[in-house]
Amino acid sequence: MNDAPSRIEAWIDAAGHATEDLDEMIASVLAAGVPADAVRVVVTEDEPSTREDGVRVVPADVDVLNREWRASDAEFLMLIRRGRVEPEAVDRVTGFLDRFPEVQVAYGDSVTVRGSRALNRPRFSPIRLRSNDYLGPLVVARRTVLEQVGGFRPDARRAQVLDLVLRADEVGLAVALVPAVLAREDLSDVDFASSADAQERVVREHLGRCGVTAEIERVRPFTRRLRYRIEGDPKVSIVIPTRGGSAHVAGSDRVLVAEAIRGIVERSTYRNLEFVVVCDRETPDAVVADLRDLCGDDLRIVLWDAPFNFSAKMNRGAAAATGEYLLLLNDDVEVVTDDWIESMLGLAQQRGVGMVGAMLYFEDSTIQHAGQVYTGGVAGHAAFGLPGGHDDPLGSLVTDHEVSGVTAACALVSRGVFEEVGGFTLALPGNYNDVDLNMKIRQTGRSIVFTPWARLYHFESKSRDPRILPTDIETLQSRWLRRMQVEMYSRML
Amino acid sequence: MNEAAGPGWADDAAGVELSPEERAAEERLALVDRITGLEAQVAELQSAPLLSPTETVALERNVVAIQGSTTWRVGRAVMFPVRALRYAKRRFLS
Repeated sequence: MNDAPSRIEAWIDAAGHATEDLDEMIASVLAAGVPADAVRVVVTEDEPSTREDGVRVVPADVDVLNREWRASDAEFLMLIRRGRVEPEAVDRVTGFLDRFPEVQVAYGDSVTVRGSRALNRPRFSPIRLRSNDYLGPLVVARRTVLEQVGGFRPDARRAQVLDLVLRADEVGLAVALVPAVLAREDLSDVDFASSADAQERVVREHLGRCGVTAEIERVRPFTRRLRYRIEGDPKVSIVIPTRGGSAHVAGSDRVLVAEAIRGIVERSTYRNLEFVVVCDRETPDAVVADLRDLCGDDLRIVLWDAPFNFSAKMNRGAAAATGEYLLLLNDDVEVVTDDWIESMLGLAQQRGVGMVGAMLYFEDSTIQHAGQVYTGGVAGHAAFGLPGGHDDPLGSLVTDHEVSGVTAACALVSRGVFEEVGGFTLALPGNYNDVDLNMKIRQTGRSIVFTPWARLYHFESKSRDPRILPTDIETLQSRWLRRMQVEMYSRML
Repeated sequence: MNEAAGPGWADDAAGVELSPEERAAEERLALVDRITGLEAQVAELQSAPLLSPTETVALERNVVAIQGSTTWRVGRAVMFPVRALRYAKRRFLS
């Protein structure tokens, strides 16, 4: 028998909940094994009191709350914002924290009240947390976390949990997902607890503490787009491998690389660019002449005069590049959003971010890429083939978020990081070289981030046969098989 | 597919080959990758855990779910004679 209930206090935020709803929340906590005298209901305006069921009512005054946890003997604080706690939740979460003592804060999955829809949350994603508080109804923190971050803050009123987790991450405390259903909840975009403004405020304060400048735009009540200010004016080298080929796109024939670069030159608002085009020898003279006309002095043509090897071509382009950042790009793309480079660069400059990928659409506007998913030792694309505008209940396609990997069809990485990990592996000339690059970057402790705000068309056929060789899979798996077993970022796409 | 064009741009333009420094940088990438790749391979072969707490638990839950599935149970039943023979071979013939 687990002795968890005696080690945990449950604090229920009553804001925005009707009495009936609150009673059900309390009942679920008691049913989960938390004794009544270890349950607190935090109310907006009231004097401290004790309910008939023995549960204590405390006002949402920060001084009172800080006195409460300081006076508590509990090892864990379960902060409940909405929904019903599952009967096994306490055992699951305390068992997880006992097993992994390095984890300081935990949150979990949930399901809708009728249990018809799973809400599988991503593993801890600090970039995503700035855009969306995806932590769910229930967050459990060791009481020592509050000691380490100095308790609750008055300025975080109505968004105390988000503020606590942001501050815990700032000081390096580990936050982790318990991949199990801990609660049931109703999905709602209604700001019934008036917390959307408070969330925006605590995110702004978090950015200030981190020395990050960003404009915050509200996309939906609880979803924000952050436009990060670019630090300095770093040169971005766009590295494109090509053989100067043409394709039939949108009813007309086009030279892919020329049109891709024309779109970038004419539409991109970021100007400090260099184009490094790695051309096969058979690239027509006319195409090279077109590129020179388009880019002028900002173009570097590099010759590739060997059998096809995507990895080697990209490495050659990177070696020739002079920019601080490399934008790895296929030649069969077309820019949709003019500020695509700013969107990616702003993220790439964030602490801990290793590489940034973009939203790619097929010609028919269905989704080609919204991050990669790795499971069972192989890779695929999240949201592949879904209609544009599709999203999951967590708003994954309107939030910048950490992913397992991104495609090298469009990815931004600092030259330093690219060099540190050895660029693309020559052992994977055609397939999975981007997966390997993502894994190498993640192995350095950096994250891979997807942004839905950098959008491009990628004129790759949906039915393209990637011709993956058994040796490609063997090579990839010899390096990463155990680390590519389970997808924990894009679990809803 | 692109038609082969004349060698004009590739032969005439001075800047299409890498400089010695750039060539060295290119080679350095390959060398670093080989080391990184070997380190990754060694880590794969070691018994030390490579997964985060979240991944570890998720994987364990996946295994439990698989072992609780009808497919798994039917497969175990179908394979029972083979397993029994293997056991007997190990137990009595070796």
